[in-house]
Amino acid sequence: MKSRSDNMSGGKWSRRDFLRSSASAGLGIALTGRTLSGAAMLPGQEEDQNLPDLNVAVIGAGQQGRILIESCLRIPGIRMKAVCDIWAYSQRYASRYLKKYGHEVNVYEDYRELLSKEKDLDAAIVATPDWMHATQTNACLEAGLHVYCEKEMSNSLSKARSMVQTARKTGKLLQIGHQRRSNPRYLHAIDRLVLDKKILGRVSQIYAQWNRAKMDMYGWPKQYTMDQNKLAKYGYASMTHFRNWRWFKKFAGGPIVDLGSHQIDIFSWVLGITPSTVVALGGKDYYKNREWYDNVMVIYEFNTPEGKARAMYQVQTTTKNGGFYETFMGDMGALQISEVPQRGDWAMREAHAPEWDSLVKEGLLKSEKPPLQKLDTQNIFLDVRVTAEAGRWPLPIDLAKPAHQPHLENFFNAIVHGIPLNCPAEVGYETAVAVLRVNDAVEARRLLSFRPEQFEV
Amino acid sequence: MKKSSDQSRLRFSHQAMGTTFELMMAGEKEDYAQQVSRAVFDQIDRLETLFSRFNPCSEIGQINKLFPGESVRVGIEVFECLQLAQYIRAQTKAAFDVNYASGKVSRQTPTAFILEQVREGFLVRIPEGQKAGSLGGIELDLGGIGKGYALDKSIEILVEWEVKRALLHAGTSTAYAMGAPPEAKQVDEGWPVGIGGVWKCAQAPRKYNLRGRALSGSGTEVKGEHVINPRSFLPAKGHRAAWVSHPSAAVADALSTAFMVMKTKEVEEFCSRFSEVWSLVILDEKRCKIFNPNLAQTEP
Repeated sequence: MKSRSDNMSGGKWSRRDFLRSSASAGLGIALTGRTLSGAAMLPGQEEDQNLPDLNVAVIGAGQQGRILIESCLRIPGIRMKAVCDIWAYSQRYASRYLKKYGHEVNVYEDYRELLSKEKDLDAAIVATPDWMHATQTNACLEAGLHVYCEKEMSNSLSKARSMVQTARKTGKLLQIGHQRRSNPRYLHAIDRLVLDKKILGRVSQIYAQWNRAKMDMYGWPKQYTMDQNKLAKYGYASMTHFRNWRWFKKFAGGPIVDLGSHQIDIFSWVLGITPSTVVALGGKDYYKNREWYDNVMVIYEFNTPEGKARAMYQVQTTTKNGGFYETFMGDMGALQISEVPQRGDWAMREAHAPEWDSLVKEGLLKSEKPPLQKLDTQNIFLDVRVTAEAGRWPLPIDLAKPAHQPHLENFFNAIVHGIPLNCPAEVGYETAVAVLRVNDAVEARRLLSFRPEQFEV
Repeated sequence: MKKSSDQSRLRFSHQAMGTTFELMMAGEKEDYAQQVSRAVFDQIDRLETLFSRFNPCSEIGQINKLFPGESVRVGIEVFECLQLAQYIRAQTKAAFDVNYASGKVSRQTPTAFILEQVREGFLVRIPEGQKAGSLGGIELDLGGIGKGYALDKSIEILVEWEVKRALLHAGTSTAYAMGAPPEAKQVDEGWPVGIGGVWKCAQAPRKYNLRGRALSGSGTEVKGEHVINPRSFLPAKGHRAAWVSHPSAAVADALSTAFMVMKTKEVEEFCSRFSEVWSLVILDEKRCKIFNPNLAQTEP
């Protein structure tokens, strides 16, 4: 085994050496007085996970598939066994990346071949374009695998319904990738503070947005252009369609699905009920060569047991102003939360609301200096100075992991330990119904109603 | 992403890692160059989410929260960066250190973190006895190496996209060039970049023809004495400015910081051991030194 020290001993330390002398090459560099490879495992070396080995295949190794692969690589006990993608570039990227971590995977172009040849799998992760989710997920479930399927379940509700039915029929687990459902910050804020402690009082207004800067269409390296026959075999008219499938109606549900679905999913979690009506306006106002609208503004109504609640939501794809976050407003306070803590990580208390100091003592909220203080010790009523910012009460929990990791851990723990899934197929279906209806509302340009039975399978 | 172009040059810029990255290409069609730039800048953004010490979810943010004896799994990118940082720290006798807390705590601990390759993954561990993050024992900041590493990874993407002529830089402090520049008269020409800063050393070149290598500069003329000497936790006094060229941008990035801290004799000794390292260091207003001069094609 050659070490980087060896590479340098001759005075040569080339860029190629650097790039090759990664840990991936299994180099044993005595950084800490012992070699890396084959180093004895120290007590407590592994994280406090209790997962036996699970053999996992990834179907779809594009942008989202890679994010999920990277999260899986941080979970002890997950053994990646196979990768499937129709594009050679993604096959190569994923298999090489996994190899650096010591995962030797079999590579497939067709998921059917993967399922026929891989016989020791426990689970599959499906991260292909939305229009293929149902076909592939159902095949995996039928093959006896538990499935983690990226949201949206499908761009077709009938296909999404078939996924719920197949999961029920096979008895296998189907987790839908609304990863906020497993985020400890969201779980604490919603389950503990909003639903259990009711710190917001009656929640009657919600605002959320996902604004993203203007982006050009994705390209591809020339040497990885798929030929027309292969594209046609898998249902794509061109490389442009394949690389930018999110913008074309055959393959995807548009920006409300790509961006909005994660956040609209949370509305029902907080309010405990699915929406009753929706109205939306959107348009193909900026980009010329895409099928889906590039902006949409939506209002949902919810008939909660406490009365009417409304949620306003917008997706913009030509400005990143404000980024993405969700705000839940009640008569006692508000909660602003985002998957990125800088955009939302705090509650705000209405002046007339009961004190939150007891919540701080219990460790459920952090205290932030309120704007006005009675300063007894200085014998003054008020310290007059620059305008004080309204009091924000930060959440006390950090997510010290990639955002998707807890949701995958929930899935794997459900397989091994039988704990409940945080987003089973039925919940994912309810969200799909609410989200895809926005596209109907944009088309109709009028208020549309939901019937409760529409959310059921 | 902003774009500007003329007939012979394609230039794209993108803000990330607290600075502006810029990618220039030659000999490519504009549409293709634009797609290349998106792939490169997406990669840089991805690395920023792993490296940012201001983001508690980033891998560096997670490491900085560890208590003694705790470990966290990280991706290969952070692992490689820390591995190289540890190596350069050792080779420069701690003139380079990504642990900014190292100057605040006892020097008895040789390293603030331990890197371990475990089954199918990589771990960063804080040794028992090390003070915990908030107490000043570990405070990793890849500011002195991360941008260079991002350039190295971006070059891999350019190769994948079969781009043969390009110059990529991170806020002008570290640059890497490949192939010939626009309007090159000879096939083996490099991309001319300025060097030497405001200093008036007669021996110092003013132009460096960059090709197949990275060049990184560090100095006091823009941000003042911003480089901290990890040996003393005081502003670096080794040199007024330092430039390092090396085939790896991460190595060049880290060494240009280290050479600001090291004494001239230390730099000389280092460059005699590592013959791939070219360097120019500014001693004072008029004096400078160049090491391994034959590695570079420079002009006065």
